[in-house]
This record gives sequence, structure tokens and C-alpha cells, in this order.
Amino acid sequence: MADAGSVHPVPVVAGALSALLAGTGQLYAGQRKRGIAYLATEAAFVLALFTVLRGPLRGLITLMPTGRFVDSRHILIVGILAGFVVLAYACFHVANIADAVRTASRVQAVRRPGAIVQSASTIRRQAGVLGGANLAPYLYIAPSLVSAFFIIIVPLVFGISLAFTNYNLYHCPPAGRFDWVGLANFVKLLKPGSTWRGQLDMVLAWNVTYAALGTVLAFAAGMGLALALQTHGLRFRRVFRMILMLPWAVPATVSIMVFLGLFNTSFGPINVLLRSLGHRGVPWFQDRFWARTSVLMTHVWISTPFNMSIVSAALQSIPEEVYEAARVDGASRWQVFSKMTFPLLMSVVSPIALLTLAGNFNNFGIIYLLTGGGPAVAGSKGAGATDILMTWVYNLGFQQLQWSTASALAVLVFIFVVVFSMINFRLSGVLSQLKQEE
Amino acid sequence: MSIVATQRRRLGTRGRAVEMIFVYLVLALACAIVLYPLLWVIACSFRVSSGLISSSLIPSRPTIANYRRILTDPNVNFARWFFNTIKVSALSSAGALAITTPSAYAFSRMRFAGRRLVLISFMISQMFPSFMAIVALYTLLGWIGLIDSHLGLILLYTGGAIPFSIWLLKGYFDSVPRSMEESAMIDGATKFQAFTKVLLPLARPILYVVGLINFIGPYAEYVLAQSVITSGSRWTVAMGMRSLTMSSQFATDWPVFSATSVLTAIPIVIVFLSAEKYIVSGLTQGAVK
Repeated sequence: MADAGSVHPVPVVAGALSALLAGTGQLYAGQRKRGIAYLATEAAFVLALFTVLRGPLRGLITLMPTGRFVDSRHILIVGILAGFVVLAYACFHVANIADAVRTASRVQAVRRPGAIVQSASTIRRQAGVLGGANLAPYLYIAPSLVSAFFIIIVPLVFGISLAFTNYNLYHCPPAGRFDWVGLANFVKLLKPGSTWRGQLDMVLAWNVTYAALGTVLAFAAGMGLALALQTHGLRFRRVFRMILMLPWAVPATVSIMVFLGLFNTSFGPINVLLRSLGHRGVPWFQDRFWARTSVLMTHVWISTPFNMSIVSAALQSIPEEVYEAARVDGASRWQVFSKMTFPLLMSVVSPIALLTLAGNFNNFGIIYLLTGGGPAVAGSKGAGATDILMTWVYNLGFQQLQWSTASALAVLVFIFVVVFSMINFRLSGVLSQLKQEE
Repeated sequence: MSIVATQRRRLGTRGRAVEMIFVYLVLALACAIVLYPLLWVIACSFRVSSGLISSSLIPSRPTIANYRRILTDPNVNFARWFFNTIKVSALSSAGALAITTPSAYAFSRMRFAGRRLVLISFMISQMFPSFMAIVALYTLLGWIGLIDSHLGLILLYTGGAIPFSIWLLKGYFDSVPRSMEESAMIDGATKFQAFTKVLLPLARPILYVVGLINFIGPYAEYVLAQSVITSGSRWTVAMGMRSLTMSSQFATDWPVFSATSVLTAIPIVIVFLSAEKYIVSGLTQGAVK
């Protein structure tokens, strides 16, 4: 027999050996080729760690300019890439330990007295390449994974990292360089009583109001119209529906800029009309209340068709018998709606309603293009009356070059939205469905 | 038939007439609110540029001068913007579709280590404010020399479309029964052939939907476009329109802006309304099951 390892390998020992040095557990179990392959990979990684990866990893820790990279942003990105290589290797190492345990127990099982004698090649075949993993799915997802890695994951990790640096106007590459500052940005933003905290509270309050009101109003409008379109014997249903879908069909950027003209205080038709009625016109973008109102009006105009479609689809999923049963029992139309239609509807659409709520929390486009966050608030350090967190973050970054503060805020927004969405997914069962599929 | 029942029925028909009138009123009002901004901007696009804009929907002296100007004036190079936009959107959409379709197949039909992790990571990455990525994307694009290029912008749109497209495609693939692929494979087809020859033709509606959504998304996108593209000759329509609204001549240029709005919106409105059934069901399928 070609295998030279222990005759009765103990899985735990194999695992421990491989944990110390990849491949040794497999060698101990007598799987020579497999062991050498793991060992060689580990050797290559250790070699890389002291050569190619060394500079980037040190750069990640110190952010100090090295020979090849001077710009702090470049140092950080290269460092993050090296960090991912280490992470990938850590995963490989864990897989190697699991493989050693698995290999050892297989060998042990077939060599037990009385077991059917199997050749080493059978054991190898059973174990398969890389511990039985099939490579095909990874080939299918590789293009997506690679693109998403460079275009989504690395930039996001970079963005999160900036929250822990002092990247601002005074530490701005390529001329300057930035450093790690730990949690300083978060402390600055969250410390009670500070100017930043005051701003954050003001912006957050409006942000929550905007998301909640925007979602509820658009949903109510969408539901009302969906119910109206469902009315028995309604004529021109298709025409009504097509017209009501138009705000969804027109690209939002175009609609928002059209509303910019519509609300314009000097030439906008709303104010022209009001003036012709003897009113002196509404200061749409100059007054806090009216600016917020204009944002919400635009939001409802744009988002209603989406809600209408969702409710229409949900209404069609409610079986007709439910209504008939209620009617036979002598329920009034209001009773049917409040006791039957509405609860059934909400059970179907509440996951998407909550998801839109989370989306509206970061609904950047309308406010950025319509009011730009304005009007300015007296005594504020940049946040305007209609600024939500994201538009504030955007201005902090692009206009004031306060990238570190902006990133810290964005991280806070992210945590908020993820927690909210996770609760929502748990409630709606998306995650358990994924688990069931496996 | 008892008198009470007849009475109730008569009351019912009267109540029903009132209800119908109410429904028509609500729908008419909603249609008016929807149509007014759109008709107003169409009316403006046929108006003389004078700085005096009326709120009426019928221009007193209709003119096509604004359309002529945006198609000929080199300062408002709409034809160029439009061509750039179509190019960027079409290539981004095609790229996203090519990359994500095989992946969604793997996520729907195969079980492998890391599957759930990747799907959930994709979902979580969507919750991250995309703004956070801009600095890094800008730096990365600068490194490979793709700042101020359409290719750079296309890469960003394609990459950004991946998570959402995969979820949408996977959801649809899940709803297609596997039996047809299985019988094809019994007849000797490989897994890849079962995917391209059996599943993809069945999934044609969702392929259109994902293609369209990824076309419409970049079509009027502004924030990423303006952080990547700088040269006026490479502007997209959204950037061109934004430059008009930022101009000090905003009021005077409003009719010109209106003309660009109309020309920008028309193709998308036509595409959207003609494929509405598919787009709406594609987007709401996960929501209403």
C-alpha cells in the first residue's frame, strides 16, 4: 500500500495537525498527494506574506507612504486588497482543517477490522477535489463575484475605513496624507451637546419624518387609486391606469427637474396661479415648511404608481369568495374593507412597504435635485432644512471635503438600515426561505 | 319578494351610483394631478424663450424653435448627450445581463458552500449608501485610467446592477419547474445546455425585465455620472439637463429645458408602458406571492 501514514488515524489529531500546518493532518492520515497540495499552498502563502503582501499589509496598519505608494488612498486600497487575500487564506485554512478531520475519519472507517477493503484511490475519489466541493457553481458565479468584489465590496470597505481616518480638507491626498484616528469621528458626531450632535439630531428627525410620511402618503394614495380602479363596472379602466402609471414611466430625474420649474417662486405655474388669485405666492424653496412640503409632494407624485401596482397585485391575490362570504353575512362595504380587505392586504404588502420605508430613508435623488438640502438653517454647520442624512453626507464629502465625518455618518445610516431591514426580513421570512432551499 | 328587500335593493342602486360618481371624481382628480406637470412641460417646450412663463397648457404662439435649437446649438448638444446616454445604458444593461444570468442560474439550481453567504452579502450591500463607494471608485478608476470615460461609467453601472439583478433572476428561475431541464439532461444534455437551451427560453420575460430595468436605471442617473464624467462632449442627458437647471438663465432657458425633458422622457415612457405588465410583475413578484 502506497500510504505511509498512521494505520488508524484519529480525526482530532489530524485536525490539530492541519490547524498548525496545513496538509500535515492529511499526511498523517496517509493521503500523501492531498497533504502535499495543502502544504505547498500554505508554503506559497507564507512566502507571499513575507514578500508581496508585506508592504501592503504594513501600509494598511500604518497608512505611511511606502516606496511604491504615496497617496494615502492608494495605500489604503492596496492594503484592503491584501487584507482580503489574508481573509481568503484564512477560509482556506479552516477548510483544510475540516478536510483533515473528514479524511482521517474516512480512512479510519475503511481500515476498521472487518470493513470492506478499499483502495487509497477510492478514498481519494470519495473525498473529491477540495474536500468534495463541486467547482461548477463557482465558475457560473465567478464573473458576478469578481465584478461585485471590485465595484461594490472593496469600495464599500474603503468607505467604511475612511470613517476611522482624518481624511478632510487638511489631510487630503494627493498633497496631504490621512491617518487612522480610531473612533474620533463617531465620538464627535454622537457626543451629547456638541454642534455636530445637534445637527445630527435635526437631520435625523426630518429624515425619519420624511421617510415615514413619504411612505405612508404614497402608500395611502396608491391604495386608494388601486381600490378605485378595482371598482366593478368602471369604464375606461385601462386609460385611467395608463395615465396613473405615467409618473413611474417618466425617468425620476426628469420629473424632479420639471417640479423644480413647477415650484419655481417667480415663474412656476403654481405661484403664477396663486398670484392671479390675489395671493402673494408661496416661498417653496426659501421657507423650511414649504420646502419640506414641496419635497413630500414631489415624492408622493413619483412614488404613488409603484404603490398602486403593488396593491393592485395584492388585491388580485385575495380570492373573490372572501368578499362574497362577507356580503352574504350582511357586512357593509366599510366593514368588508376595514375587517377583511385591509388586513389581508397588509399581510401581503407589509414586507415591501417596510422595504420601501428603508429605501425612502436614503432617498437621495429628490432632495438633492430639488432643494439641494436647502434652505439654510441659521447657526447650522452646513445641514439645511430639507437635508436628510444622505444629502448631508454628500455635501460634507463633495463640497466640504470632510470625507471622514461623511463616512462615519454613512456608516451610522448603514447600521440603522441594516438593523431595520434584518428585522423586516426575519418577519417576512426571506432568510428562512433561503435556509429551507438548502 | 318582500317590500324590505326591494327597498334595500333600490337604496343599494342609489348608493352604488353615488359611489361610482365618487370613484370617477377621485380618478379624474388623480389624473389631473398626474397630467398637469407633464402637459405643462410639453406646452412650455413649444413656447418662445422669453422668461415669461405662463401656467396655461396652450402656448399662445407655438414654435418648434426650442427643438431646433437643442438639435443644432453646439452649447445645448442634445443629440450628443442622447447618443452618449443610449450607448452607456445599453452597454451597461447588456453587461449586467451577461454577467448575472449564469450566476442566478447557479444560485437557483445548484447548492454549494458559500451560497447563502453571497446572496445575503449582495442583499446587505444594497443597503449601503452607494455614495460611500464613490471615493474608492473614483480612485480605482483613476488608477486604471478610466476617469472621464464612458467605459468607466459602464463598469460602475454594470457592477452596481449585479446584486439586484441576481435576486430578480433567481426569484424567477426558482418559479420555473426543474422537470424540463431534468428530462433534457436524461436525454443527454449537459447542465450548461439545459440552462441555455431549456431554462433561458422559458425565462425570456424576466430577461427582458432585467434588461429594461438596467437600461432605464442608468438612462437618467445623475450622481455617479457627474462624479465620473467631466468633459461636456461625454455628458449624458441627465448631466446636460442639470447644467440647464443650474444656469443663471434658468427662467429664460426653461422652454429649451422643457424640450430636452420631453425628448428624454418619450423613449423611456414608450418602452415602459409597452412592457409595463412585465416590468411591474417582475418588480412586484417577490413582494406579492
